[in-house]
Amino acid sequence: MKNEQKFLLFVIVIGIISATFGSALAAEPILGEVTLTPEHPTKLSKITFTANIIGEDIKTVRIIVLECNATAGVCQNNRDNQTMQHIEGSLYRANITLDYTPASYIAYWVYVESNTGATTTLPDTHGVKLNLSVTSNNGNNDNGGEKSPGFEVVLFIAAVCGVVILLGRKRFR
Amino acid sequence: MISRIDDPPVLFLVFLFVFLIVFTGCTEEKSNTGEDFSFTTLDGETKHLIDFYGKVIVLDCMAVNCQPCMFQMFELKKISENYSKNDVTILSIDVWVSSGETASMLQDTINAFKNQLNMTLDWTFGLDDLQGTIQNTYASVGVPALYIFDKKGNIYYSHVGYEEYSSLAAKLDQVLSKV
Repeated sequence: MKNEQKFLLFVIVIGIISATFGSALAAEPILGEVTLTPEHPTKLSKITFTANIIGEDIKTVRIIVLECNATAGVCQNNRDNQTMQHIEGSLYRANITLDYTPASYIAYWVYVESNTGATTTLPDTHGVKLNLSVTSNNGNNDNGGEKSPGFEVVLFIAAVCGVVILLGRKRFR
Repeated sequence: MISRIDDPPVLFLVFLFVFLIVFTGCTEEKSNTGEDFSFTTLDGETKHLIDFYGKVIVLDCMAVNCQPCMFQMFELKKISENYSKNDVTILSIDVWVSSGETASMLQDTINAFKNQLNMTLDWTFGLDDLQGTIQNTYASVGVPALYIFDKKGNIYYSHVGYEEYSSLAAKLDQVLSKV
């Protein structure tokens, strides 16, 4: 009889623990998939992020998008509206326009805040890194990114050409 | 034949010379006094930049989510190890608080360096305010943004982006030798 009671107690305790952890796990939001449109964005382009987030008690979903230049080792935080709108079911969406000219890659995170105030970072704290496609290369960057030749080189070449032309004209006189 | 100053080619060359001096002489070194700011330390204490005057200050405007900023920590660690704390003080300020970065995230990062890399980041860490005051003043272009202030609080050097120890050390040696 005593053994039966012990067994019953054991089952009850295990049941309570399982129920507690089970409900906690169920409350933890799960990031299914984040899709980007276009799939291979370029710098200064507009990207639509669609996140599939499964979970209960979700209050807000935010997306953080960094734009970085790998050569200079600089990152800028995209300051567009970072709240993802609830579209339907488990889908959340945000439109972000990239605005950092020297960017060579982006990194993004999804933050899910529950009604209890708990915040979950998805998929993990390291974020998702994505290299930006290169469609054109203007060469000149002027806000702290790549240290490529800028406007002064063009002006210098034009000035030298001007001197050569003027000196040439004088010799012909 | 002596060229006169009002000859077009000579005038042009003079103009070119002045132009090149003015426009190609841009350096990253500045000598203006940095704007004071306040920040919150990880202990919750409010500190000001001017509290650290009297030492050379390395201001590192950083963010937890910024990968190059994490690489910058290794270079700052070398400064911490190779320069006396009586001469040089390092301030790493998280300037992306307005974007959701928190004191606990910053503390987690410091802990991760200690636990996973056995590296103690033994300098002052702090956070910008929710309005992004420091970000707007010192890191509007991006992070990491590094500044070296001389002992009087003048900005001696600034750089946006990751920078190696050797380059920072050269600037620190220069500013320390001036005193």
